[in-house]
Amino acid sequence: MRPATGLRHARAQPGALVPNAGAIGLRGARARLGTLAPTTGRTDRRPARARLGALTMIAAATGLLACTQDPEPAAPPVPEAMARRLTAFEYANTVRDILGVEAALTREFPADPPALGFDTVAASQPPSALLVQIFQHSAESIAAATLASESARAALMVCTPDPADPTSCLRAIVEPLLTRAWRRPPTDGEIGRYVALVDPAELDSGLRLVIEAALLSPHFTFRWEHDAGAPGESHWLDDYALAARLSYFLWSSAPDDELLALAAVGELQSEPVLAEQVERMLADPRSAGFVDGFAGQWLYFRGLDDIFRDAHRYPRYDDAVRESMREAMRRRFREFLVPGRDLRDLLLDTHAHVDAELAALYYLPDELAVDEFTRIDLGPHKRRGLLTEPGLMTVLAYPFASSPTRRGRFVLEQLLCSPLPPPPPEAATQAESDASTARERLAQHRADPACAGCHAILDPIGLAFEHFDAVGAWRGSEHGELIDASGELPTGEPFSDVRELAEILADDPRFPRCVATKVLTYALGRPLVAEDQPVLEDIIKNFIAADRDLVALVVAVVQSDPFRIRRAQEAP
Amino acid sequence: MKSATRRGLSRRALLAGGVALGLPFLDVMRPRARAAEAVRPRRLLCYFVPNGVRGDAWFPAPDPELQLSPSLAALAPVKDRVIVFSGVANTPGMPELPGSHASGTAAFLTARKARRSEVDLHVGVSLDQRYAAAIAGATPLASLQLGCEGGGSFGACDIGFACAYHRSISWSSPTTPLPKLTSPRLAFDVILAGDDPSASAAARAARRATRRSVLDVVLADVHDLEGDLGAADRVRLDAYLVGVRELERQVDAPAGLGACTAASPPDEPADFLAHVDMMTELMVLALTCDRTRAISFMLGNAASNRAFPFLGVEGGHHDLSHHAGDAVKIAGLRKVDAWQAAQFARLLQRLADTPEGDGDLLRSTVVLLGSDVGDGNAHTHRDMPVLLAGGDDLWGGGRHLVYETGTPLARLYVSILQALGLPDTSFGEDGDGPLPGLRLDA
Repeated sequence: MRPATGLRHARAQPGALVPNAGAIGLRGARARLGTLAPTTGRTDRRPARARLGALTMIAAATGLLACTQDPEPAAPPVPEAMARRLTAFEYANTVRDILGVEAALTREFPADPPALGFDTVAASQPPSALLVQIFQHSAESIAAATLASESARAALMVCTPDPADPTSCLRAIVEPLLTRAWRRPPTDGEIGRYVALVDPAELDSGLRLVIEAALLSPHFTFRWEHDAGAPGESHWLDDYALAARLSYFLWSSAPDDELLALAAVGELQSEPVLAEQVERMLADPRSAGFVDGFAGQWLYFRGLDDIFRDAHRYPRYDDAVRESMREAMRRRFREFLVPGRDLRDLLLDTHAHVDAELAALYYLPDELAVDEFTRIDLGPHKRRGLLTEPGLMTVLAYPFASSPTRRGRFVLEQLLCSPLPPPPPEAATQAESDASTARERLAQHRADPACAGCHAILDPIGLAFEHFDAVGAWRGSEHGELIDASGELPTGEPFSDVRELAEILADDPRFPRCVATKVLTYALGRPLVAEDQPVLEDIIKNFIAADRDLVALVVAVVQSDPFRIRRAQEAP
Repeated sequence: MKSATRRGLSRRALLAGGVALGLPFLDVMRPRARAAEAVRPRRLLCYFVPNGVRGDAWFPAPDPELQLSPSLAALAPVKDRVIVFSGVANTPGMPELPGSHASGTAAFLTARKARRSEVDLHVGVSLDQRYAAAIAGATPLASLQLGCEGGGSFGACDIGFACAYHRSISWSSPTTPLPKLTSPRLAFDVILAGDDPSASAAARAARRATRRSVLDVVLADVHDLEGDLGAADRVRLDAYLVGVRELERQVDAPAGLGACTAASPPDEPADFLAHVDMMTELMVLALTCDRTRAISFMLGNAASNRAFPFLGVEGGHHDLSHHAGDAVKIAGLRKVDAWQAAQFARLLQRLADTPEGDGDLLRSTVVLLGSDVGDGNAHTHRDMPVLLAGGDDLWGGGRHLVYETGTPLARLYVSILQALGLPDTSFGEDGDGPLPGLRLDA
C-alpha cells in the first residue's frame, strides 16, 4: 500500500490544517480553483474533484505536496441517492467529536425507524417539522453545555478578539467550527453571516448563538451532496462528501481533521489512500460507531434496550445484565475489525467475553466472576460463537419463552439473506396446543399443509437453539422433557446441536454474500438495485478471495463505484 | 357539501333510505336543542391503542343508551360524554398478505391501504393532519404527535412493511409519516416552544430576540441550499423550511404563555405508569394553552409486546392477543383492555375538569379512540373498537351506535371533519359521506 506523500505530511500534523489559520489560505486557494475550473456555476466552494492543474496551486498554498495524477476517468453510472439526515446516534457522536460535549437530549429524540434493517437508509427518514423544533432545543442545550465546559470552551477559543479589530479573530473561531460541523469549509459569505451573530463585547453569548445556528442549520442536520454534473449524469463525489460518507459509515460521526485535510488536497479518491484510511478508522475508538451502528442493527443487539423479561421467571435479567449482554456481543464483533480474521469465526469461535453480570448465566464458579470482561473458553459450555450469545438469544425470544421461529428467522434473514415468504393469513390464529416442548408444538403446526412448507425450513434451525432459554441461559429440559436440539436441514445436512449448525452456516456460500449485502446497504443508505449487482458481485469476490476478512470487505465497499460516485439528481 | 347541509332526518326518510337497520332512531330524531348556542369543536385528539380488543368484554350491549361493558367500566364518570360504535370496519387496513398490524396502524387515521414496502412508503393523509392543514397558522404548533413507546432500532417490524407504519399514525402526506415524541421533557419543550415558564417576562422576551437572529441565519442557509439541490433532496429541504418557518412563527407570536406559565417541566418518568400520566398531562397542557389543536397519541406502537406485570398479567400484549383460545391469556387481555380504557377515561376527565369559555375543554375537543385491528387473535379489520368523546353539542353522549357490520370507519371521519368545520364530503378509500345518525342536528 502506497501512502501518498501529502498524507504523510497531514498525518505528521494532525489537526493542524483545518482549525487554524492555514485553512483560510486553503479556502482562498479553493475559491480560486473554482474560478479556474467553472463547470456548472455551482462549484464555487466545492469543485468536482481537485485533480486539475490547479491542484499544484492548492498544494503550494497549503504547504502540501500532492502526487500528480493522470486525467480523471469518466465516472461510471450509479443509481441515485438521497440526502441523509443524521440519525440520533450519529448526531450524538458528531456533537461529541466536534465540540467535546454530550448531546444529552438525543437520548430522547424520536426513535429512528429502520428500513431494510438499518436506520441509515435515507428512505426511512422522512422530513418532519417536529424534528426541526427538536433540533432547536437540542442545539440550545448543546451550545450552553459547550460554553459551560472549560475544555470545550477552550478548544473553541483559538484566539482572543482584539477589541480594536475583533473580526479576524472571530473568523478564526467561527471558520473551523463550521468546517467541522458542516464537514466542509464554509464560504466567505457563510463565515460573515455567522460572525455577525457575535457582539465582541459579549463573546460567550455571541458564540452561543453561533453554535445554536450552526447545529440547527440544515448543513449540520443533513448530509447534502453536491451535484456537479447535468441531471442524471454520474460524477465523482467531491472529496468532502466522500470524507463524510467514510466517517459516517465507519464512525457514525463527523470526519476528523485528517480526513478533512485529505479532502482539502483532493487526495481522498485515491484507492490506496481509501484503503489506508479504512484501516486507520477501524483501529480508532470511534469505530464503536460501526460496531453499534452496523453490527448493533445487523445482529440485533441494539434492540436489547426494548427487551423486557418477567422478573419472577428470569430473576437474573436486569438492566446491568442487559448492558453486559450487549457489551459481550460488541466485543465479539470488534475482534473482526483488524485485518487477517476470517468472518466465519464469528460463528465458530470457541471463546466468549464474560463479566460478573454474565457469569451467572454461564453458571461460572464465583471465583471466575470478575467485574472486568474476560475471555473464557466455551469448550465445557456447549456453546459456540455468535449464535449462543446470551444477548442474541434474549432478543430472539418472547418475554416468557424462547422462540424457535424468531431464531430461525434471524438465521435465514440476517445471516443468509434468504427470507421466507410471509405466512398465510390464517397463521395469525393459532390453534390451542397442549404440547410441552417447542418441538412438539411446532410438529403440530407443521401438520397444517399451509404452514408446512416454510416451517420445514424454519423449524430445524430454530429448534437447534432450544437449549437456550429466553435470557440465553443453558437448559437441559423444558417442562420435564429433555430437549433435543438435533436436526437436519432441507438440504439433508444433519447436525446434533447448534454448534454443528454453526459449522454448516459458516460454510454456506450465502453467508459471505449476505454479509457483503448488509454492509453495502448500510454504507450506501439505500436499497440495492439491479444496477448495483455487478458491483456487489465484485465486492463479494474480493471478500471471499481475502478469506472473508471484514476489513477487506469494508475496503472493497469504500473503493466501489457507488460509494465514490454520485448521480446528479433530476432538476426540481 | 351536500351532507353538511342536510337537515334532520325524518324517521320515514331513514326507513326509506334502507340505511337505518340498527340505527338508534331516538337519538337521531332528538331535536337540535342546543344547536343555536353551540360552540363548535375546534380541537381534535386521536388516541391509538395497539393490538385490538377482546370484543366480548369491550363492546356494550346493543342498547342505544350506553351500558358500559366490563372493559369500559372506567369510563363511568364521563359516560354521558362518550359514544361507543359497533359494527364499524376499517377495510382498507386489511393487507392482502399478513402484516395486519402495520397496515391496520397505517390505516387507523388514513382509511387507506398502505403500500407494502420497506423504502417506498405510501398510505394517505391522516385525519388529524387533514384538520391541522385546514387550520394551519391558528396555533404555534400545527399539530403534535405523542406516544409512550419509541421502538428499537433493529430488525424488521412487520413482514415487508417499513417500521414507520408501526410507529406513526399521523401522516402529513401520503408519503410522510410523522415521528412522535415519547420523551415528556422534550414534549414539554416543544409544547412551550422552549419558553421557560419560570423565567421573567423580560428574560423570555430577550430569548425570543436571540432566537430570531439565529433563525435568520439558519433561513439564509436554507435559501443558499435551495438552488443547489435536485428534486429528491429538494423535498426534504422544503420540509425543513416548513419546520424553520414554524419556529419563526413561535418567536414572532405575541409573547405570553397564558395558562402555561403555571406548568413546570416533567422529570424523567420512573416507570411506564408515570410515563402515561405525564403524556396525559402534556396533552391537556397543550390544549389548555391552545398551543395546538391537533394531537395524535399512541399508547403503544403497532403489535406492542409490552408486559403488564402491574396488572398481574403474564405475557406481552401482542403475544396475549394471539391467545389461541387460552382462557388465562384472554383474561389477561381483558385486564389490559380495561386498563387502557382507564387511561383514556382519565384523559377525558382531565379535559372535562378544565374550564373553557362557558363550558369545559372536553366540549370543544373531539376525542377519538381506536386501534389497528378489531380482534387481535384473528387480525380482523371489522368490528373495530371505536370510541368518540367530547363535542357534546354536536352529538351528545351516553350513546351506543350500532351499525350494520362493515360500515366504513372513514364515514365517521367525514362526520368529524364536518363537525370541525371542514367542507369535506369524503375521506380515505371508503368514506363516501358522513356517518348517518351521529349528529344531533343532521
